[in-house]
Amino acid sequence: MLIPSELRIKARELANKIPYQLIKDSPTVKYYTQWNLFDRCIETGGNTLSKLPQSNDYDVVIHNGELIKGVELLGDQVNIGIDPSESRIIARHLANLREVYPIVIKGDVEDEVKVLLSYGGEQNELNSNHVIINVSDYAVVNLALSIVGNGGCGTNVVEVNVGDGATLNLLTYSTNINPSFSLIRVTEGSGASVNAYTIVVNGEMTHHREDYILQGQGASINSNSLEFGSGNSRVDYMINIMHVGEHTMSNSTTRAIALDSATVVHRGFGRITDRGRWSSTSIEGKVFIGSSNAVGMSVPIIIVDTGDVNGARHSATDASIDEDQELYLRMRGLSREEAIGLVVYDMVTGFLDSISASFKGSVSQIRESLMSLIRGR
Amino acid sequence: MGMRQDLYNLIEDGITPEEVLSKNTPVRRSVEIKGEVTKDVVEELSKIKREPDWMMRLRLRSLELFNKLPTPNWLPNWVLDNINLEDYISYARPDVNRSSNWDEIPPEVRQYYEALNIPEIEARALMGLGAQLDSEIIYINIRKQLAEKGVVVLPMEEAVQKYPDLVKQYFMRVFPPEHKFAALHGALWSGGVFVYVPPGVRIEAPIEGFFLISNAGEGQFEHTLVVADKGSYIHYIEGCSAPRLSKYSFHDGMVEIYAHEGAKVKFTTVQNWSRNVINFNNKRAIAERNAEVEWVEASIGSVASFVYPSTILKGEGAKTEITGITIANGKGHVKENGAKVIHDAPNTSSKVVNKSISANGGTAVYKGVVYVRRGARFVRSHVACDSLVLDGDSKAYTIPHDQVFDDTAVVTHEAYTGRISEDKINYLRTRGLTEEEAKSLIVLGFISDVTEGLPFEYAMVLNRVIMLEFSKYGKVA
Amino acid sequence: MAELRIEDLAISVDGKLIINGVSFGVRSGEVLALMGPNGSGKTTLFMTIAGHPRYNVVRGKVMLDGEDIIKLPPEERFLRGLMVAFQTPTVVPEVRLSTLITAMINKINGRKLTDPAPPSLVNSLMKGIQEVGLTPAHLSRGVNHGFSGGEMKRSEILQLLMVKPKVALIDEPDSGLDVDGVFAVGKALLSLANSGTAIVLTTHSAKILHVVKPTRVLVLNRGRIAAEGGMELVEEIEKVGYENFLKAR
Repeated sequence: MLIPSELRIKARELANKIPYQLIKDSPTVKYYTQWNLFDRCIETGGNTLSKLPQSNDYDVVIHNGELIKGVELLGDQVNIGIDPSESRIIARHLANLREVYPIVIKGDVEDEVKVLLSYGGEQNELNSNHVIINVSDYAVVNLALSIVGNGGCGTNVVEVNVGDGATLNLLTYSTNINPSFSLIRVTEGSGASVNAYTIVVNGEMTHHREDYILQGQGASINSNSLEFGSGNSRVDYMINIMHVGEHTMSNSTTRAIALDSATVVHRGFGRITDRGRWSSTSIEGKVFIGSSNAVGMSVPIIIVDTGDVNGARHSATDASIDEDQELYLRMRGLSREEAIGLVVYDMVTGFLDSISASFKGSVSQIRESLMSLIRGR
Repeated sequence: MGMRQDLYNLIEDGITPEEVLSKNTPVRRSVEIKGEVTKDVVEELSKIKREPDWMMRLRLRSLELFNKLPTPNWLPNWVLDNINLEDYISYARPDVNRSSNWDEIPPEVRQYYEALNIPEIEARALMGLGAQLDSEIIYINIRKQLAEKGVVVLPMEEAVQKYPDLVKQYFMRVFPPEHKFAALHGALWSGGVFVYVPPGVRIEAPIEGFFLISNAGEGQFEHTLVVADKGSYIHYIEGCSAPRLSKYSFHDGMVEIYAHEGAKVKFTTVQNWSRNVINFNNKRAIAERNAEVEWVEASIGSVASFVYPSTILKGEGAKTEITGITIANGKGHVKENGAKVIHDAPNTSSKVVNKSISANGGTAVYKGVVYVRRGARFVRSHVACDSLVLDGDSKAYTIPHDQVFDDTAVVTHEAYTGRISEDKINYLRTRGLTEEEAKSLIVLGFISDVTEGLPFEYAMVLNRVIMLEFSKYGKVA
Repeated sequence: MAELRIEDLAISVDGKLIINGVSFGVRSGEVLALMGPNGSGKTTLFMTIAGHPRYNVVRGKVMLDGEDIIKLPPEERFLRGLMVAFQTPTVVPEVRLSTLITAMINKINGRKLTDPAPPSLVNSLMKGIQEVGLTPAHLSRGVNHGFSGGEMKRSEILQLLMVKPKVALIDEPDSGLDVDGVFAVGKALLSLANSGTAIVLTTHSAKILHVVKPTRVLVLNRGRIAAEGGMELVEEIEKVGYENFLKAR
């Protein structure tokens, strides 16, 4: 599905004008994502030569903005749910795209539907992928999404519309090298429920954002995420939950690991609008700082626009193992380094073990990659 | 006595204090400076105050910065729309002489103080009192004990003249003119209190400062500087009140605290400005090695308030506690409170407790930053924010930032926003209370963290004020 | 035949002298019960022997198999066969109990910490859980995370059973446990002693000593050994209490 030309023109115009992010909080808060790194990325419009990814394991593969596999799952024309005026990066994303792919997942598909958004190119080339996934009313769907960058900058947007009464189990795995912007925007209808598992790994500057818009009454989201940053990575993970419908519920738990000289940020945003009466939100995050040069940051924000609320809570921790814990583990024969290694190992395996059995296939692949990443240290 | 009794009767009927006080006659004034904030205005201000050169230069530098710095984009638009500095009378000296005896003050001025119960409080709990009316200190009473111990409690202008070298070391060095309103303050500051506590001296009873805005279009720019030398202890209380006004009033005060090695400073503010006031206060403390700074901030009044007490833990082992209670009661009220802690040294710790109550369409906001520098080892920080939103139209926002650059730190944050839980109300009802009584009790218990640290009279007055704010929730014996 | 020998140990904490001249020895298979009122210094003694940095050895020796281990860091003492079960264990939510136990065994056997548990360990673990009265679910929880006081004790004992150290110091294995729990833990300790571990334990209520009968009993008071003997000391303390017991000596 081609991008409407008015939209593309608007995007091109705004791509040089509007800022990446408007900081309105306070005089001391700086940017968490280093947007200036994206300035060196140049739009390719999809004209790059690069190695195609392995398609066997996936049902849908989109590489550098082009559909390589999965044409049978394409749906009809749909409205694009993001607007270039949201921010510069989104404007640039839309300006860089040729096509947007609508995918329909209908009835009960037992196995996971595996979608790969891949991009690759020279270090300064920007490639973009955009997919719109519709989950039919009352369907039960297992969707495994992979966002894989093999070089060059990337913008990847996945819009998901979850129909009334539908259940979406969503597993997202994203691994990047150069600056990358990923936005996964999920809009839920009445009574819809989403169980999301997200794993974000490394990258020079990875901005990974998930928006869950609980539009319909009684919609719910249960999200568990794992952020992993090692080497010189900088990972900025942002989860936005907007309660628009009444009696909506959200629960978000994030575990993050910062090693070596990596900076890992957890931003959790729970918002209950004045229409979202009798809703509840709970956001919890822990950033584990695993080395002396690593940096951890937490920004857990609650915005409650009405007192007719069932409760909004959040908690955040930034820490390494504390002195007591270190001593306890030393008395169990482990040095500090070994103790930290054990924590990292258990945080990762524990997370993988908690992922629903519907994703057995994807999880074993992810486990292999992550274990080799950890073991190689 | 008669007027106080009438006032209490009216308050019992559920009328707010400012509604009563607005019936008072305005105070006569002798000098008024109006118009644009130009270099001339600032120079004239400095001359009237007979300030040394360095202070005038400081004011002029601040004015320069004020003109250069951008308007903060983190204030709500309607607030910015309603601050037109050129319109404000930035300086006014009421036609009253200095006095150290209560009875010598002209009757109409005394009325304000009597209505707020000042004489009794002074007699019992305080060691000294500074009262400011329309940018001037008019009532100062330093007790002999303080003077003998070498403690200095003076109006800020007087301190600038009497102890220039001491004041110069700290004035706007703790909080330099980093943003537009701090710069404006630096240019126009007037009034406020200077406190110096010598090494090892402990002042057990709290010291109070006091000021009023009595007319519309008044700017309040008082500057309070507390310097606690090594090993000293002081508790300073700041409380204020103003009648209802027809135009928006704007307050841009500053509090600077310097706690030297081993010193302990507790700074309590009970702010109850009338609903026409937009209250801005720049508060910052620097704590040296093993020093402790405690901020207690109760923000009850004003239609909009932006106060974020902050502490820089500069020396090893320094600690800070920042406790705040914010009440946003009324449609369009925006009350922002918060805490900023910079952990700049090892073994420092911070504890932030912030409670807010929003009702009748008000919005309470917490904005905080906890920053741990790399190399600041073994830092412990905990922030707890609780917000009670009493009805469907009111709002609460919690916006904290934790930035940890050292792996030996443990920085935690937790927050909860909700209504008064049904379970709690039901439990209290099974113990004989009505629903309204139960709610009142819960609200009082909710803010007890703050009231516990206050001297008895203040706690009583604060509780009374809060109960009046929520008078529709009934009275508790 | 392993041996732990304490010679004239004096310990200070924050400048205060807590232990002032304690000596004792314990060999493989023996059970030494260390009793004493609150504040007598039992936990201080254990923490010091385990290598807690806050405790300062003013004089004396701690000999493990003839080697003075005072200068060794805690992890070295563990690898030489000394293991402590704590009175109030630390909570480590990020590391699962099963992971920790596997890591300890792996380290002792020279394997990589995160290597999977060999089948023999898995079997022992299943048996061990039953012995101490825990469930497999406890294994997947973070160490002591959400555990009740009694469950923490059982978890510490489970670790001992899996490691089978040369010397085990157990600080109040019975506090927080009900009658059945005390019985289960007591029996577990008995089997540990029978398999050759030298055990030193402190106890809160002495009830556990009726299950795991001590070879010797020491009574500590104000940093010194006030009495030495056998089970008869325990019975006397149970009858008259510490105050009277100590007064009579």
